[in-house]
Amino acid sequence: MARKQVTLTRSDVDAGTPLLQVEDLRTHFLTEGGTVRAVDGVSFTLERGKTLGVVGESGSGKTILSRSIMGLLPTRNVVRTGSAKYEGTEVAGQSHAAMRGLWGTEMAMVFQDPMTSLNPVMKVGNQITESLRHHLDMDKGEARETAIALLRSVGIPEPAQRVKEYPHQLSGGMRQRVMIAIALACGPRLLFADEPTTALDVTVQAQILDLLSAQQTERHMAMVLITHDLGVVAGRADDIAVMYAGKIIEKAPTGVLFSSTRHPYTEALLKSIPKLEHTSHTRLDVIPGRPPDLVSPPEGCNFSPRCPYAQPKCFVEEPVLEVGPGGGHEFACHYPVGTPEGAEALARNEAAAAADAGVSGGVA
Amino acid sequence: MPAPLPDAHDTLKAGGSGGVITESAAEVSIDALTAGATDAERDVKKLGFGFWLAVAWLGLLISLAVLAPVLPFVDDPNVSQADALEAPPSSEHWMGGDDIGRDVFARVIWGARVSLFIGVAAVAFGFVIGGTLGLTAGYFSGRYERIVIGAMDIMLAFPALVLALALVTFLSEPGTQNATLGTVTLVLTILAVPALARITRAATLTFAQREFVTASRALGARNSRIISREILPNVMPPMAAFALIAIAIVIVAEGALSFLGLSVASPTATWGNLIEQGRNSLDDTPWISLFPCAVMFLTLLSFNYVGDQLRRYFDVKEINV
Amino acid sequence: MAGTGTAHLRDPSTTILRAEDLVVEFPVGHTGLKVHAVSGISLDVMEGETLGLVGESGCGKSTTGRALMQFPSPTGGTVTFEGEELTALEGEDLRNIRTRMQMIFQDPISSLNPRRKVGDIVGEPLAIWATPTQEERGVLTTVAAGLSMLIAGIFAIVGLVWGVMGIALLTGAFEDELTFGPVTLENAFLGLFVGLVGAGGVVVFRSVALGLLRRDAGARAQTVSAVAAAALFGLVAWTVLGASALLFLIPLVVLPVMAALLYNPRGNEDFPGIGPEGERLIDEVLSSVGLDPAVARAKRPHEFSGGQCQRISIARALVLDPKLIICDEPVSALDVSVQAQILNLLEDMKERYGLTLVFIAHDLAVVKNVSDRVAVMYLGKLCEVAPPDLLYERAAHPYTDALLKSIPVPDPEVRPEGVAEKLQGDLPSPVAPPSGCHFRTRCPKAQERCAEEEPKIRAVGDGQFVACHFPMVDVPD
Repeated sequence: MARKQVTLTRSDVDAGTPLLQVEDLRTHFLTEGGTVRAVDGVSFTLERGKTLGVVGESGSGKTILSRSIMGLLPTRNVVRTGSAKYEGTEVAGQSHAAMRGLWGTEMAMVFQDPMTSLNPVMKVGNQITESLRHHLDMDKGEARETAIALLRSVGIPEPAQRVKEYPHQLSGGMRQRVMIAIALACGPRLLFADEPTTALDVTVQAQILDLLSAQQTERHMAMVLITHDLGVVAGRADDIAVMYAGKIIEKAPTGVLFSSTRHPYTEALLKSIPKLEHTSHTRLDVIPGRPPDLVSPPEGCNFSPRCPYAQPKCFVEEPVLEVGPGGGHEFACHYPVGTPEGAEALARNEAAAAADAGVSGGVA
Repeated sequence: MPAPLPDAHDTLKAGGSGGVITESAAEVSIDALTAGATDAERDVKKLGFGFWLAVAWLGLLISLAVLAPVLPFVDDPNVSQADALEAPPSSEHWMGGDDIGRDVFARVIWGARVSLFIGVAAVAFGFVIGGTLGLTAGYFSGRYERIVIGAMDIMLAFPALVLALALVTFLSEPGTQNATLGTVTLVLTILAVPALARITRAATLTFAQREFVTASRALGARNSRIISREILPNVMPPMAAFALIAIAIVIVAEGALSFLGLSVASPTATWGNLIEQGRNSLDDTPWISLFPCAVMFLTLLSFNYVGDQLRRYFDVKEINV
Repeated sequence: MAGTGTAHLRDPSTTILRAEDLVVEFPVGHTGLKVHAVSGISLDVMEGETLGLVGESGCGKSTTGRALMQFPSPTGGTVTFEGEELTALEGEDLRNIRTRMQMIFQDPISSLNPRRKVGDIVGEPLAIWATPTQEERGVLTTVAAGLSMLIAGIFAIVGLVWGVMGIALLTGAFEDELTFGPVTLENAFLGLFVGLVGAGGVVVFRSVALGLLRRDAGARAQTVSAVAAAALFGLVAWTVLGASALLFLIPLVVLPVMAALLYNPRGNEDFPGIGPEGERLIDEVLSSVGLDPAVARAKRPHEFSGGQCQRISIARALVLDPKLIICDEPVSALDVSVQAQILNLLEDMKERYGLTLVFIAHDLAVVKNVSDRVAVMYLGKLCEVAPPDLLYERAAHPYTDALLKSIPVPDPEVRPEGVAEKLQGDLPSPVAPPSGCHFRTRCPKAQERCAEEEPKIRAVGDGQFVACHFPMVDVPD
């Protein structure tokens, strides 16, 4: 395949270069209704062998982010700016033809819904060997052996039998394992797992997440774990980035994110999840309102209309993602949780609400 | 310009702490800030210039066809005029005259009457029959559905032209293949019914499985109400849009039949007849065939285009981002 | 068919819903095999209680919910609601209980008719049950309504006759005659057209008049289009008929409008029908679910978000003031923050309207949050029934235990346990479930007895019941 492909300048790369370095990545979609700013200035780095959890609800841009980096977006009506460097080589904005050299061998993706991500008319074995034969130039027999070994390594019983089966003959959990096998077949060094367990039952979920962790350790692979479930990333990610309306609003090592949450959105998200430890009928703290319109997001901070800490400054000036004192913990907020300014802001808002309620005789 | 900044109090009032969210209040403050594209704007590929052009053409043709008997500039299509004998297009005869002196323009317009009538009537009756069959088959399923689909499949299995030929011969005067307007309409209706039934059934199926139908049943609605209130309003728009395309198809079918001499007999003007008449004299008097061809082409194109655009227009409204 | 047993059911006089030994089976195509979706479940719910039904996909919880609603009737077993045996009901009797039992579905967008306005959707239950009696209509209304429909009928028949006669003439049925009485080849078209439009016109005007009563945006649009149609029709009629067209204005416009204005169905004694009282009820129910009726009523479902659509579904379920609502995975398709809003809303509605809920979901944390009593299902069978806090503290059934351990906890201190402790293997096929205890193929504690004998549900104290031979808590004798 003598195509112009992205070649990695591995010889120039020194050991200190992070595996993935994203800077101010923006992906805007041009639609009839306006420009949808799906990803609006995302920056992060990822080292080899580490796991980054990207957490966000629908509309936060987390899926578009992963596809942007991998280059899986359509080319028409999409504006991409910013940089994403894989092993020092720029991959943002490359064409599909150029990226083909990297897909499978360097970076791979596991998708959300195993029912629709596998080709229903192709045998499972062929879907794996297709990748092997294309990228690694294996012959038929060798590829088949490798495929069987791969299926065994992802925990599928009787793999020699399974290679001859079609996706509909397998259960959801097994299909997801097959997807993982396909993704890992050529030994990528970066894996994007886009909501890999959302469509699966909770008991199978745990198995799949364990499998991903095990494979990651074995292959010294970096992983970006994208999910809306904070529980999924709590135990399995080294760092967590919380996204809201196309931007990262908080980023910290896992323990730090949970123990000293700084951004009000993260705090509100944590509070709104029903937890097993709570007694039944515990009233959940809700985040009022809805996520913003991505075509014209609000001025100032995207979260300000819904934020219990919001002050007038928040509606005017957009907070920048900055490292807080103590290092390692980035957040974008003028009145962060757990700081004196934040506590003051919250108290001020609550007093005003109480005064209002008192005057009008009750909340509407 | 941006709306006035809401007070922090507003947002907190909207949110409350633990109370029931009055989403409207929250919406007001959020909408004031976002003031972005409304749903209507984001929604639709608007019906463009081409659409309205096609509609104008169809409107013009239909008006001319309906009003043909009373329009002063439309001559009698069956009367030979001396000055029109093989005459090229002129200010007297806009599309020229044919080999025995009849005004081509008049014949094209009168031919349009036949084509449009057959097209609309066959599709209308076809929908009434086929649509009902398809709708009920899709909704009730079970053995009834299997019977209906089986019958439709059997009808579809016949080669259309052969079936048309057989029906026309059977229904016309003995010994001839002179069909009348009614016969041709009937034949084309019969041919249209199975296809329309299948399409209506397919459209019904997508909606009959949806949860709002179950919800309606859970509320105690009877089947007749569910069909008329829940399913029909959803099935009608795409079907109506498809009807236009179906009309085009039927007009083509009629054209083919009359070209072969199986439709309404000469001297009645139909587009197919006209094209057939002029076939042998394309070198000398091309306008006899070409004008009917052109008009037919534009009409079919318009029907197809309008139908397609409407179908897309109605589809988009349903999708929720 | 061996069921799980009924030890956990309470005194029938205290419960408003009681299902015993429910069995639901579906045939698989024509192979003769059957899917055993539900195999002998018994449940009961007390008034004002929320029963949580939890399990993974394929356990039969949704099927149980539908069987309770008789959608369709279960293959076996009984369902008693407020003393009435539902499985024995048919036709009208079954329809009548629909007013007291309602359902909310998983996909908020698919549960609403995309072509109808929200006001209509929420008002649909009232429209369905609006059955005015003859006396309520009034003589004048009946006469006017009848007359207008009669006129419409006459128009339709005239049009049809013209059309048919026209076709007959065209087909030469009258030996090349070109006229038949007043019908000529020329006016066949027009006659058909006038007839159909006339009939349609009457119907349109009548619905426009009804719309005038409502005075909302949809009615205005209807009015405008009807006026345009009237103008067009008037023009054509005048062209064809001359001044005598005015004669037709009376039946076409005046009578139907009168009929509609005087027509105000007041529904049966239980429901306010679709008059002003019904409108008020729709507004009230929309605002109680947190939507502004003035804004929401004229919009269509696709203009709302998933969470708002679910609110609309809840509003629709509340309009008839039911006693029981079965919630089939109502929050599974929603984002986390919206989930919390809807869960809080359900609690509020329950309190405000005095509801009893059956809450079906696969997320144990969600179920635990809203329920007073939780039933865990696996492959068509009940595993355990217990109060939610107790279930969490000491799960009695190995499956419940595995389920609890598998749930990812948003707390990094809680390390997920190793692979060995998790549930291995996959769900067995519901077409051929394992013998004895359905869970035995994945159970870490399974023994021979589990394959031979199906465990019956029994009490383990404090309102907790388990169906297991080797439960994880001690069984008192």
